[in-house]
Amino acid sequence: MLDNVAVSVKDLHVSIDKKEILKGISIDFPRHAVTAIIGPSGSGKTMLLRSINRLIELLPNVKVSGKIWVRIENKFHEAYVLDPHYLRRKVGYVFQKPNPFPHLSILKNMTIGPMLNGIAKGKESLERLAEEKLREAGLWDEVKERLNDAAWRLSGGQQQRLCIARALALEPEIILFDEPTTGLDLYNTKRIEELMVRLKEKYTIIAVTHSVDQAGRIADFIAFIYNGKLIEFGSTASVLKSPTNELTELFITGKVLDGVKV
Amino acid sequence: MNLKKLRDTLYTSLAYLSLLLLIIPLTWIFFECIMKGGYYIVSRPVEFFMDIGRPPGVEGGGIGHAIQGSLYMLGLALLVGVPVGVFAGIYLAERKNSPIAKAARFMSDILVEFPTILVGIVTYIFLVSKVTGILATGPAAFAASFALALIMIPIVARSVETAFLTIPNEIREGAYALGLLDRQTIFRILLPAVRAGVVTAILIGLAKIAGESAPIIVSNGVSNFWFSRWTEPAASMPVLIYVYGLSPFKEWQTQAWAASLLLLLLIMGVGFLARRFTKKLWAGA
Amino acid sequence: MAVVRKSIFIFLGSFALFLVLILPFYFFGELYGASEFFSKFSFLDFILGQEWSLPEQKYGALQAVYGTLMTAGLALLITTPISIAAAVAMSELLPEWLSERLGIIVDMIAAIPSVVIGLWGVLSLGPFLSNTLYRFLVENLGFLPIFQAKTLTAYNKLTAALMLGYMIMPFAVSVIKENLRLVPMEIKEAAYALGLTKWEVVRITLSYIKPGIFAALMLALGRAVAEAVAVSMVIGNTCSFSVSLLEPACTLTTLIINNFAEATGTEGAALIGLGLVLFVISISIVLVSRLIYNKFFGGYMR
Repeated sequence: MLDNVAVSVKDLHVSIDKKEILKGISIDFPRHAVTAIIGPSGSGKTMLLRSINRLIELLPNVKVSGKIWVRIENKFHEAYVLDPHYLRRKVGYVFQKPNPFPHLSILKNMTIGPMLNGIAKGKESLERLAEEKLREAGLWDEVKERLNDAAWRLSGGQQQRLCIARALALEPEIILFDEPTTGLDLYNTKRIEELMVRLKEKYTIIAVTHSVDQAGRIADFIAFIYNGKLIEFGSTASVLKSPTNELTELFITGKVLDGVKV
Repeated sequence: MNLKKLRDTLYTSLAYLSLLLLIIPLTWIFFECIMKGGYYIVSRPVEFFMDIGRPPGVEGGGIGHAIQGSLYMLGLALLVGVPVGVFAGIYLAERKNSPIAKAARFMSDILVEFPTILVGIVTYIFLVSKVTGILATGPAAFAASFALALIMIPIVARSVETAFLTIPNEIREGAYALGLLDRQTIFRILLPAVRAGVVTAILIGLAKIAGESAPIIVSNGVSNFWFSRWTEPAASMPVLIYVYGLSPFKEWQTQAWAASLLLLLLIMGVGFLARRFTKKLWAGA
Repeated sequence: MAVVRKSIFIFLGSFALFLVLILPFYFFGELYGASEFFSKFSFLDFILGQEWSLPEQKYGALQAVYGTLMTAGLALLITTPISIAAAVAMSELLPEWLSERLGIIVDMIAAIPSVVIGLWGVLSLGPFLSNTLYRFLVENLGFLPIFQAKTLTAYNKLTAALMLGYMIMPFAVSVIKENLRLVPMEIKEAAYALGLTKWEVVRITLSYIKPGIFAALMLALGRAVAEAVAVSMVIGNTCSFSVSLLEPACTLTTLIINNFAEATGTEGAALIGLGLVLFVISISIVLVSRLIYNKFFGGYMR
């Protein structure tokens, strides 16, 4: 398999309650790059993302077929053969709505994953890991004085960056972002976008976004999904400047309305 | 990783074990009631329902007096408790932000958890004690009925409130738009709309008081005879189970199981009816 | 016209006002009933009195308070793990149709009259336990003070606590289940996304509803304290400070239920005094529980 691929999806079909959501998607996500998945709502972008770390299996009546290979420690593993807990540890996920554990302290939010997964042992090394990852997520300076505050006391943007830091604390290799800036103010949106770009040095980033502009700002590659199918995939410049498919062009110029079939 | 799996399996089995611990006593109780009590009822059906108890050592006897006494007591309790509970409940729903409604809601949440034996004591003190007794100066059936009514009032009120709150506001607005008065809106439009919910509320209250024994023992005491007067002690099923169950006589113990079976079936029947009605709490759309 | 419009709410409101006044009415009733006793005996002597004996006119409430707290506390200890585990099994492990049916069974347990459970305790559970568990405990763990017994009896604190524990279980289970239902899916998803196993996720879920569980268990404790008839049938009804779980005891409610009908004058008033103590304990438990629950909803639950 190609050296510069992090996740390889082959002929992925997903159906929920017998309704087909993804209809045969094949795509190779490049390593150490930001790939944005764009498309109208209801096109299946989130389901594609959730298929990669098998979070989709939490939904009732889900059927997944096809193959997904994930590069972990420089070897390709079949995602649906691997232990799902190990897979999710190595493939982090940041949700659309910030979902820290609201009742736990900021520090505990950071340490509970590594602790239960046995990544770090002992109070000291856990706290060191928490500090390192909070710094990496650019949240440390804002929370270092109040690490024992409950997480629900943070602002929405801070909560989302805490969620990113929490994902980083598991030392994943790939991080999936599901429209992570939805509902956030411009300041926090900008900070999270910068963070994603910065994170690609160490991790592979796959981000679902509904904003073509955001994709243009952060992504190296863009995948356009429509009605459960991959319509176009290429470098950001080529997809945005000279799309080969008419649907892509309609979407990036804002002419296909969300969810309306053409 | 294997250790984790082992631990998860252990936890899962413990969780299922706890379900078993929940179910076993229930099954056990039903089994005893049916095997001992059910057998007695089937072998002497007429005597069981129509006769009163026999002295210890004498074979046979029934619980007719206890059934009759329970019906009288519960009847009076419903007569007193239902209107109060329903009217208070309507107020809670229709004036939900008034200070009285807020206070009443707070109080009834406490009352629902209040020791019922104390309710019996208070009705005893005020209704039938030597000093303040009004109609009687000793344990009496009507005191027990009032205790039961007091126990059911907060339960009925909160359930009726819940039922009324399911009515969409448009219905109220529609009624007012027709120029109806508050009284007409409440009793002609809203009450019929949540009829099923109000019935459910009454059934829930009834199920709660039908099995009560402590307040009856305290305020009414024990009787082994047919109902005579409201100012005298009357028999009742829960108290009969209490007395017969603690007696050393096999015959009485068997009848305690039989009475338990009957009481269980009645209460669960009422509960089942309540469940049926809840499903169509608010039928309108 | 305005008067006519309002009058119906004055009518209905008077019933709501009555509802508000019930509890104060109970309180003054208890106070009034006990006043005859407290005019002759000091409150401190009553509440700290070590011995209760009606024939000897000794009215000390402490043994009854001890019995109440011991049996109710033990019942809570028994109920807590089982009800949490059962609630988790029903809402997190089992398919919905099965958990719904189990919910009906839990409601059925809650509907069993306490006197029927008492009957089962006195005729079935007690004799069964004394032939099995209690014999085993006395013979093998008899060196522990809590398992010592002069004579092996079916009716003691442990029987009462086991029975009480079962009586409050359905309530605890359904409230905890209700709380579990309130946990947003996002919280569980977040936990799964961290690579946690089902039970680690459950652990986080349970910590999320901890105040709710605590409030539920407090109310369950209150119910155990308030229970009268069933306890009186199996506790042996001999007041003592014995630490052994296998020795009989008495509680506030059992003293009342066993003696109230025959008691007259000072005796009756002393029993009402016990009721006053029960009143205060019960109300405090409910209020503390509500306080905790409100704080819970005031915080991250909103």
